[in-house]
Amino acid sequence: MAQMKNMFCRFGMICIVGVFALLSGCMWGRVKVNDPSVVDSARSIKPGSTHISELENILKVQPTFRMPGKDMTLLGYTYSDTKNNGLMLIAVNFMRSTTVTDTLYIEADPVTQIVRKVHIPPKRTLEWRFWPFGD
Amino acid sequence: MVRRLPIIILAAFFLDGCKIARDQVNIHVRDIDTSWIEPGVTTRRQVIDRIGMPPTAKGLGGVTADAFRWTLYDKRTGTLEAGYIVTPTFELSRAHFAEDILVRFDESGKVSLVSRTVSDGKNVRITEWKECRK
Repeated sequence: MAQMKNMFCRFGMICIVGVFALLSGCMWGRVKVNDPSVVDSARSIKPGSTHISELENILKVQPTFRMPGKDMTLLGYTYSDTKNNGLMLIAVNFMRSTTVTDTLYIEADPVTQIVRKVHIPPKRTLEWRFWPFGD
Repeated sequence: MVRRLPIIILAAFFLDGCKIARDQVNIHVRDIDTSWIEPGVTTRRQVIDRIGMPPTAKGLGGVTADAFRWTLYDKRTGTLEAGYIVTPTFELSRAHFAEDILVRFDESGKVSLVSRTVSDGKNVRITEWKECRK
């Protein structure tokens, strides 16, 4: 009888430790740098007629960079999306952060400054991942 | 064992714990296919039309006047924190470009070099190297 009581007591303690270890918490976080909706606004740009000076009104943001070149002027609008995920146990925390950066590029004629082409990056979907090992 | 369990639980509370973290930026770079690019033949326009242009972010590659560079940044961090009020922290991290693709163009706008390297943080391995020398 005493042995059985001892066994139950041991089992209870193991359960308590297990519950403490598992219920510490999970973490989800999201960080967006610049507005990815610039891509949607860029669909209204008309290559061949839109002038560079009109871009600010259409996109409502300044370009991240402007690269004047011999055969083209290149404007870039960079944005990024990060998903942070964590499994917080008492003694060990596992965390994983996955980021995608993309740039919307707009090519313009170096002389007339008229937009020639808009390079819209493909839409990427990030997964929520907490396990920090493997690929 | 039963007597020791409260001590173990207490120790677990006072040892703030260890953290194993991983940061990855642009994991999709792994899927970019560069095997079709022929230096001296393929043009910048063909590269743009087929695989697009790399995102430009500080320290993570991008577009320059004569090159495109895609990088997959990977950082692993292990942290051990001991104590609650005074917390000595021991951290070890390793950051590297797990995948690095460089496409360089000549003055006529044709590809002059394609290089692709893979790294596990310790060793860097060139998996693709195609160059057109005039």
